Amino acid sequence: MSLIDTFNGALTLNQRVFAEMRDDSNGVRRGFLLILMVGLLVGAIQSASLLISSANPDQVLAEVLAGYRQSIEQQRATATTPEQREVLRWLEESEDELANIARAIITAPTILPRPVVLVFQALAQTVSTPLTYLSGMLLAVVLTHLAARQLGGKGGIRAMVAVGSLSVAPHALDALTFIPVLSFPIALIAWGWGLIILITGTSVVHRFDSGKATLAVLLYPSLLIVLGIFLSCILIFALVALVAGGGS
Amino acid sequence: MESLSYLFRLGSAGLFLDINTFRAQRDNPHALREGFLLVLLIGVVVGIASFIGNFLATLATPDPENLLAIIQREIEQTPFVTELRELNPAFSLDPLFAQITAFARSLQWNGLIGAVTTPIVYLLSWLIYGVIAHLAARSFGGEGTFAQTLGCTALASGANLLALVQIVPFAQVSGATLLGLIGCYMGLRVAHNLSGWRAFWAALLGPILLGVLLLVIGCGALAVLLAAAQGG
Repeated sequence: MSLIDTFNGALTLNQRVFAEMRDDSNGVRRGFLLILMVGLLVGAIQSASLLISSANPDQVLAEVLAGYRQSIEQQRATATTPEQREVLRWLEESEDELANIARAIITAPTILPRPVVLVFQALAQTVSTPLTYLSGMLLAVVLTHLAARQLGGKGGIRAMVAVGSLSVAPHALDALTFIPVLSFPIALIAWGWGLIILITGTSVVHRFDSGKATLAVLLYPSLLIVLGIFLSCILIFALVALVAGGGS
Repeated sequence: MESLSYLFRLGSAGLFLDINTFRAQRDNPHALREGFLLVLLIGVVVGIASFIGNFLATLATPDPENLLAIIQREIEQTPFVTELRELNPAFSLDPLFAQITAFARSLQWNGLIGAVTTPIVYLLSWLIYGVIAHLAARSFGGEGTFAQTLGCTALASGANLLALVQIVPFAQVSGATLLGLIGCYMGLRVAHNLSGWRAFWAALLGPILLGVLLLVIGCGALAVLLAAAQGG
């Protein structure tokens, strides 16, 4: 089966493609090739978009300053004490100096000409994107596999990695996230679609029904979120107690 | 002597988690020697890639000392620093920026140091991890020999081939550690005929110990700093 057929089969949740990936001794290699294809496509388009936007130093500088002003406005909304307002005034009055620093960083001379530097940065983003997808997929697969085995699944990690790689296929949509208004909805659709593929893949590898496969996929991420909230609460209470103790 | 293409085939089989290669390595009488050569070769190749990437990145990055001088000059003109100077005329940013500049200067040899140390770091990590994982696997009822453990876990270092991407300046490597751990799990399972959960704990014991050790060292360093701050 060709790479494009595997890609299409993943997107259409074709059970035959999932079963074939599970049983193929070259499944991991094929899965990684799929991630490489999607990652290079997304990385190339995103870095081309970045290249166009960063080619003009004045535009980059304007974006940096706009972000700085927005950040000050956000902090002003939450500033309650005179000291906080004083710091914000300092930051506001330092805008010219910040602009000079940003301009110096953006336009600082390098040994290689600036177009070559920009091409290097674009190339770096292009080749790093597949690895970012790979790392996210591996983490999701490991957590899912652990939960699945605890729920009585019989599949192996190699098959899970091969089939889990298919969940990266919908992220080809991320290539369109350079469109400002559509960025979030497209990323959300790609993520949700990938989740459905991972659930389907888990049910195929571990021979689960869809309910159990959903539980396996969501179990550890849910636990980690709950744990994160719990630890954040403890940290906030500790900080409040520390501040109150220091005040008294 | 093993050919380079054979070693690269072994590395790519480890990268793609090929179970048949793990089994063949378990039964290979030269597993230890081939494992050593494989880890060394991957370390050398990744070190060279990292050196080239670092060198190109240096050519594509502005001189950090000039940049720091500009940053210091601009920060000194901000209202915050001006008001601080009015309150305390002795206030100066020079010591802070001197330290940062010295640190930036010390980083300029990073590429070369990285290239030289990568094979050594890979070999040491493989040996130390192998010893801990072997002891753990044996205590969980594993049947493999030390040579089989090292031979099979060496295949997992194939995951480090992902780091070849560093030949592109500014490129970021991710996923290699997790993929390497999955490879180690498979290697231990095959080498010792362990059940899934036992191989899982044998593979994770080393990283868990390392994490605990770093946590203890971190807490100790924090306690020393706090004590020093209170004493000062």
